[in-house]
Amino acid sequence: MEISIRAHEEKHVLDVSGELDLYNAYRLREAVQRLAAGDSQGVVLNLKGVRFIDSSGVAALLSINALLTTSSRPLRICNVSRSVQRVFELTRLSGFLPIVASELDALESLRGGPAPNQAAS
Amino acid sequence: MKPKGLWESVYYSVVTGQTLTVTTSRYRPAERAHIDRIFGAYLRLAGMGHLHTNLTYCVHELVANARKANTKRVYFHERGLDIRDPEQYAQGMQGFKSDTVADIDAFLARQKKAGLNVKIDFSLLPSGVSVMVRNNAELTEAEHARIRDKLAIAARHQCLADAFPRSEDGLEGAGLGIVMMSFMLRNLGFGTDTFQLTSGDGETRASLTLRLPPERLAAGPQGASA
Repeated sequence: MEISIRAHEEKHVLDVSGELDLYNAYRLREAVQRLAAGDSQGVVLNLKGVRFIDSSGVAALLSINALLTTSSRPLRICNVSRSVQRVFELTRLSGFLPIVASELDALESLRGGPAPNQAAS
Repeated sequence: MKPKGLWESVYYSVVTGQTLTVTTSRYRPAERAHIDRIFGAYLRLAGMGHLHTNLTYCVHELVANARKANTKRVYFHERGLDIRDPEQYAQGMQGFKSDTVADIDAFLARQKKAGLNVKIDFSLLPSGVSVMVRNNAELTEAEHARIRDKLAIAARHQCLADAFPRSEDGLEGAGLGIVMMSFMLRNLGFGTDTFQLTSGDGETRASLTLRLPPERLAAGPQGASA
């Protein structure tokens, strides 16, 4: 899995590609933990290059969501592939995680635009 | 005539009423893709091809669990720890995930050398597909109890986000795989008896008996979506 980080205004976009699974999901969690410990005002996870996710990858996304919610920093997840989206749907996470269609939508939403359609847990 | 390729192997097994078994010790992306193709062929023959994307996730979780159980055996053996002793189990699991994740290819090579593998058995049923994932190590009582706990957590919750905080497991990692699989099977319309787990005679067997009622089969992708 590859992770590259771009700063955008005071937010950060993480481009993730490859497999988000048992062997590397912790790296994504650690990357976001470092950003949350700094001065990042929001995080966008761009999953455009992720074609496979397992339960460890889903657990990492849920942990990241909890971490950023606790520290009052918004999270958006964008460019989710069909197969990954299907995993979210079948586990009823698509209404829980802050998923938007594109990076543009994610950044717009972080600037105060429409929030993703999230259900309360 | 002996079958040559993947499709021939599937059809040969089906028409002769045999189980098709794939053995792997690594289960990296190439092996996973191979098993996905076989599984897809069986699902299509059973009229459940539209569920392939969803169900392949469940097979992957079972194989990944079996492979991880084998890795655990190698890890404990190399450290001289008794996996069946609760104190030594807790001690070993402290470093298991971080140590093995960081060096997984070396561990996979050593578990292959130790003869530890995972077998995936595919069979076509009169009204569905059976997939059994076997690894040649028996579950400890503690592992079995942990899996039962995960199944109970999945049964008590409607949403994975609600179940997640309760399924986090300090020793085993997040421990979310079995819970996620249970949610997915339930939301696809499969019954509670779809997943079975047994251990004994030197191996652990996790099976999926995938049968859908006729109305769900006929409904296609939309009908199969919960």
